[in-house]
Amino acid sequence: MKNIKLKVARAEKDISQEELAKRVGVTRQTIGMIEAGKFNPSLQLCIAICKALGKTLNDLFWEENDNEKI
Amino acid sequence: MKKFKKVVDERQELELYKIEHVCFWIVFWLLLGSIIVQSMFLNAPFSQWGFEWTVFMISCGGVMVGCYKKGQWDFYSKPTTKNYLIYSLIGSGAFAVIYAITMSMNNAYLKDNLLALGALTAFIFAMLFALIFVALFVTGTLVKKRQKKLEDQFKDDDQQ
Repeated sequence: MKNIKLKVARAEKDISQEELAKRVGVTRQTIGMIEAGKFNPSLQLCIAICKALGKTLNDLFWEENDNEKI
Repeated sequence: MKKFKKVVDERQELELYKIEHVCFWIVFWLLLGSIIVQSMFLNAPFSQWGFEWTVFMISCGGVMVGCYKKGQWDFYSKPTTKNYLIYSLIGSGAFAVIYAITMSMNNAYLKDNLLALGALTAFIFAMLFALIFVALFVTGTLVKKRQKKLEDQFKDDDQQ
């Protein structure tokens, strides 16, 4: 599943994939693949991305499921 | 400081592991095929295929030790008696078929005497079946014990 939230957060901060990749210590392709939903990052990398974008894990990586809504 | 610092990120590392995994199994099965062809079909002496056999056994030993240490068994099955039986049947059955083919090719007496060939093949099948089953049973039991030990290492204190 595509990670639109990550793409939007990155665009809001006006940061390129290349720049974000450099900040969290991965390749640009890895960021591209996370956004495209082709790679599931480790929790460690998720946290690093959240810190770089000033967001929480909930903001970027939590998928709302209708069944779980109270 | 580590002598060789990794320059790949976690995705690249995983992809490299996958590539190496696939290549390892290709080499593993090709090596086994090469040993079978040389030793059974071509009747070559051990000195010709002995080195390959040694390398093959080292890789088998390495996989076994590694799996035991980490408490791992298989990608597609669990260490149960049913699975030991299935794998033993497949392994001994496949080997018995190859054995029967090569014997009928290389042994003039067995080629003309199908009953003797069948009996010998059945005997080889039974022996091999028992051998593989025992080997799987022993390694499976060891792995299960190891899994239990590893699980207990990370048990919550309040559950003890």
